[in-house]
Amino acid sequence: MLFLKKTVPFLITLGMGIFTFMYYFMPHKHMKFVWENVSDWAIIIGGGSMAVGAISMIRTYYRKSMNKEDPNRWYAVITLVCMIGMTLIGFIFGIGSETLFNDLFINVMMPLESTMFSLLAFYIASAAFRSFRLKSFSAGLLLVAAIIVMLAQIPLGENISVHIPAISSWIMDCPNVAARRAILMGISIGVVATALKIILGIDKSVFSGAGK
Amino acid sequence: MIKLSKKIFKVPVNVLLVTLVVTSCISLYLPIPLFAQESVSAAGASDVLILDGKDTPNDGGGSIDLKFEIKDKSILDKTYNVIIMRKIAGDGAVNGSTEDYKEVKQLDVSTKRYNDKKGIEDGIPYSYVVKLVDKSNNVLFTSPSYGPFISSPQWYNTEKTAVLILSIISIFIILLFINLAKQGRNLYIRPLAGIKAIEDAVGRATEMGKPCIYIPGISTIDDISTLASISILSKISEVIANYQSRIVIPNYEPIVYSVIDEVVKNAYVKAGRPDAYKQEDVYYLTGRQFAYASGIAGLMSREKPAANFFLGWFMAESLILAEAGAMTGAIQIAGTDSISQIPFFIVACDYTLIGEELYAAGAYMGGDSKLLGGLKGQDYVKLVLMIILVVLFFLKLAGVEGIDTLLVGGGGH
Repeated sequence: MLFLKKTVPFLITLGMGIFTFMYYFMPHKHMKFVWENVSDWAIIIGGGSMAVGAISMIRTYYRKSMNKEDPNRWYAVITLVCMIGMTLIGFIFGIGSETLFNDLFINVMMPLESTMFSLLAFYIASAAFRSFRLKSFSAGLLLVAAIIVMLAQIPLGENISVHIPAISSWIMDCPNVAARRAILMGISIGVVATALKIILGIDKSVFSGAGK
Repeated sequence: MIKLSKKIFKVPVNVLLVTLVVTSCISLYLPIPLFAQESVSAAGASDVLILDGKDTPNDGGGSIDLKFEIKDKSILDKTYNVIIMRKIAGDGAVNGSTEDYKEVKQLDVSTKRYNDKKGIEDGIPYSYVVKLVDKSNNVLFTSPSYGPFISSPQWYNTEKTAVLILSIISIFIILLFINLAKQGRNLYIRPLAGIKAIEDAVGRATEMGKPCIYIPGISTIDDISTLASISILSKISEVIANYQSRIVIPNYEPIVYSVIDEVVKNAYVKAGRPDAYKQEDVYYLTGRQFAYASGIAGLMSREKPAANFFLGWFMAESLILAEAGAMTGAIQIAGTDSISQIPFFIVACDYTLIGEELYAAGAYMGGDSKLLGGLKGQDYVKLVLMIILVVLFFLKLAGVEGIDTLLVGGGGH
């Protein structure tokens, strides 16, 4: 059992890791053929895993909705009703354009998602309020840079001084890009090291059965 | 030297050998040399038009690069379109006749190059004829036959040599330090405040009798940040199991959910408390980004967690999650390699693991010497890269040609 849970996933990871590394440097059509087939398998597995997700969701929310001591159980009931309702509507009336499923998606789901997205504007304001407090020299630098960059985004900035857009561009193109590139280089090296540790089985925490 | 390398690469050398053997076998089996670009180039010339063709370099085959130039200025002025015609060399009529040639592409006269991929098969010689036509499609000039040009696939992309060399150097350094750590060498790793705070946060949750919420991000299982997050989660779950606390993990991606479910279960088994594992606390929530954010915001406001962990890949939902968590008064620890979201986490969370620190956290928490060795190796790779960049910078200042493109890879396939 440990062989199936630990050794087999490790061997698959090792093989695919080496193949992926080689594929980056080898453009030959045979390599591409294998890569495309493997990618197709990944899509098939991804599709199948949706069923696993749905089962998990139904099981969790069914238990929550059955717990009569929980005052929040009605949220779970609403989730289940919506999920089952949408699934049945999709099966009965189809999911193409001008179907009930599509109407519900366009007129209910999308406005709800847009509402959540629009909340970002308020959260940005509250987060900015916290971060732009003049607590130290570094915080002061951040505050000044933020004011210049924000002023440059609106016509008022150019009216105050023609230099504001130029300074804003310099802040974004020089110190900002330098910091981003430094972080990106660190991330890239980290990706190589982490991938190497997983491919060679040095870090086994992501394999099932590693804890035994 | 061999003894030293054997000593250093006690385990990984097996893997490297397997790779070497597999690569050698493939190269021996194949009729085309592994590192040679089999490129057939041929040029044809007339007084009016010059055409040069060759196999497209560094590709998977099925492609010929054509380059042409109209020499006669009087014809060039009248020409509106260039028609590329092709046939298999040696087939059909005598050279010079365009009967058997089929049109493959009509190009604007300003075009100087064409990459022919339409129905090209490797190893077959193709001949080309170019017709120059005016605005009314009257033929001004028909070139003689050019070629044959043969397409072939390449096994190695020469444009990526710099990337290959840097990759090999990086892998060598990382493996070297992993082996040094395995041999018991004491390697200092700079402590990270965020990692230390993780254990404190779990302890705080236990004392308060409230759960921890762990968000593994919204990426797929093939993303390194997700794998790093799972690695951290396995360590946090062990601490949670030992402290007899509770962790809730809503998931965005079904495959990630399946892996996390197993990993958390195993962490509880490892801690000797398999009975304490609650399956309903690790579940799939939704695959829609903002539905996921609203689901977690609701969960936070209902459960009032003592600690929130946001570790993995995040996008626009990061600030919604972090602000919703901040409103509940929970201690918040975030970590992501998504550069655009790092500022949001910094302002809304108590501790933030920036970029590569996310990958380092799992190794740091476990205290496994091999993983710590990998971290040290990572730092040295960064040092090597810094030295290379400084050297290249000064070479560029000195006016050395080709520095700009030296480290640029050949792109994807």
